[in-house]
Amino acid sequence: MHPQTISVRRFMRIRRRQNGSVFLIVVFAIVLMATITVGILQMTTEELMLMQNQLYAAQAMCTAEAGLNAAFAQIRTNPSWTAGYTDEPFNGGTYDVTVTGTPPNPTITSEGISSQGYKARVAADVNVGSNTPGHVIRIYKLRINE
Amino acid sequence: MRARMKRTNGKVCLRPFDFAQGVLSKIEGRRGVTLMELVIAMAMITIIFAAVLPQFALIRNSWDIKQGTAEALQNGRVLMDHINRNLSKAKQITAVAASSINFNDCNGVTFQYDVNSVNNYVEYGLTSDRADLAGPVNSLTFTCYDACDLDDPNTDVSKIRTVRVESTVTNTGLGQDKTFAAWAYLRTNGSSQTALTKGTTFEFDTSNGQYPALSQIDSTHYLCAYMGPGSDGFANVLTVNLGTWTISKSMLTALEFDTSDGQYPALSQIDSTHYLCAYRGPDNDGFAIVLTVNPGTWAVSKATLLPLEYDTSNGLYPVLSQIDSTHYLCAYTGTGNNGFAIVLTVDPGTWAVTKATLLPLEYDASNSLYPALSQIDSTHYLCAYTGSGSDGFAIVLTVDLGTWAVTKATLTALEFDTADGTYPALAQIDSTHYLCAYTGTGNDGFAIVLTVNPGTWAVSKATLLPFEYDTSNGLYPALSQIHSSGFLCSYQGPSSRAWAVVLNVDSAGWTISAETPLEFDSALAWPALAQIDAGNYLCVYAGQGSDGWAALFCTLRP
Repeated sequence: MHPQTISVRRFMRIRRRQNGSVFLIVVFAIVLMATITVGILQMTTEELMLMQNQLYAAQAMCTAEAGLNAAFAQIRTNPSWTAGYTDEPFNGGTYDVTVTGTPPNPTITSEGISSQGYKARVAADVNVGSNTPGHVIRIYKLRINE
Repeated sequence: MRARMKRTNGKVCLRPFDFAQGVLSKIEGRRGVTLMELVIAMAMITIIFAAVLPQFALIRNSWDIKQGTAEALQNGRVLMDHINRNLSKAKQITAVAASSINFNDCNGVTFQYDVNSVNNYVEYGLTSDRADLAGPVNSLTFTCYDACDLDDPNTDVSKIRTVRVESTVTNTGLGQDKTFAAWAYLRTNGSSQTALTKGTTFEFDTSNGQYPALSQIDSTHYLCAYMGPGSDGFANVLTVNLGTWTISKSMLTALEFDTSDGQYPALSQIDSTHYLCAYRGPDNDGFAIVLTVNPGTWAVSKATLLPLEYDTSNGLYPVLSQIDSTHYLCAYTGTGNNGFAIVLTVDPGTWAVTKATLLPLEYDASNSLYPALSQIDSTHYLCAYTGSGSDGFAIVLTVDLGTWAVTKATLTALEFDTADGTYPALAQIDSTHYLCAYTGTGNDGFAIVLTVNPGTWAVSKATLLPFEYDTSNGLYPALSQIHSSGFLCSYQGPSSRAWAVVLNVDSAGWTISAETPLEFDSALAWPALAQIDAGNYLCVYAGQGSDGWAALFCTLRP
């Protein structure tokens, strides 16, 4: 075996060890980048979730408000309306409305459920006016998510 | 060295200028490094770090910015949501400044939002006990508007219904500050503002129904006594359906409690089923009888067969005021159109009415028409009436709870209107102030606040001049209190039609102002008012064809 041949092999072996260092550096870089990416992604996801929470809670509140307004509309035309609503669809969600108490001072409770299942509740103690047409409704107490 | 020799001996031929050995030595560096190599290596590392470190700083900055922004967003959302929710539930804004707002919640408790001057956090809580809510903020501003005009800000707390909230939340990280804005609408209306609107009307007597008087039995039933066909005395129970807001009468045919004559009836509740009714009976004399209301059928009957003739000479325009469960002060126009007052006693066993004293007090020997009474305390009663020259007078009458004798608290009465003062009506504002609405000069509608001195019982005018609430016409006013400073006044207005107006009394200077009047029927005379609930009122009056009419009013403002 020619001595020079042995040397080249050894050289190649050493080169392979050098390739190992590059691999480590690359792995380190990838890990670093992945960590950064995951971190930013986590931050973005968190922000997105906060936004979604806000959005769905607002949707549920709007649905509950819609139920309250629907009840007001009924009472304006018929002050003795106490039927309420059950699972009334609204904007992908639903609302339930119950009317308790006696006219002209009923308590109207509306529970809205958003399309994602978020819930909001609005209850109003009102006084229905004797005027016609379209009875005036005055809210004396309003309770939100209580 | 042993390893090197082993490797050298086993694998490589040792020759001083062997190429492979030289490369190996250089690459492995096991023989140490030269200064040059070290410098180059350090230079390379420095260059690499110089290139990488700013990237790390950039990443760190980016992280901080994102975190700061997220925190600012969260703070802003929490803040806006909190303010919006609480202002929506608030009854009334009580004070507003550039960066603070006070409001009454639906239970009447005052809360406040403002900025903590130390840490710039938004604070929330009772005015005396606030805690940090969210922040820090660079600014927090409240701009208020009324219910309709969202262009021009309004600082009148009694009219504020919409609040624009704007806040810039400080980014505690490296990012930018975030500005949030929201509109909050006060859904609960706790202000004293009213809006007068009309409800249904009902003709309870199609033949005749003049000079009606009302007394509340319960929230849905009202005893109404009036002069019906043949000028006789009639009584019926009017029922207000609180579900449909319709009026009906309990008996198809009203009770004719006096078949001879029954004008200008006045009512006073004794208990839930018995009512004292004083009226002008046959020969213009003064009569009184107890009427019984059946709480099952709501039929009205006479508790005794015959009424008491408390004044055998004359007894016009009687008014009643309860002293205790068995005694009632009755002021009326007696002989010579003079003013008289007497205490009537009701026997709770037999329901017979008797005079507590043999003779009445003649409180005005010149003239006294259309008296009105308002209780000051158990022994003192303010009496307003049309006196000499058709002018307006007022005096305090004192009742001795031992002898039941009535006396004048002061020698002379106050002449509160020296030009004209007919058909006065009274409503208590507080223990010393009374609103008096009357028909003044030119038959116009006037109102004035009368002050009673609780020491001397002298009556005086709270303001020099009365307020003219209707400059065209204002006859037969009737008053009913809406709230501490608001009063519903029903009267015969322009073109002899039925009108109603809300009179507001400002306790600061006892000035009176009127809201927009409402015309509710084509004819009206001698109205009487009764409050149904906080926002609804029943009015009975002689309407078209002098028939008996009833109408509903609503003073609610949405």
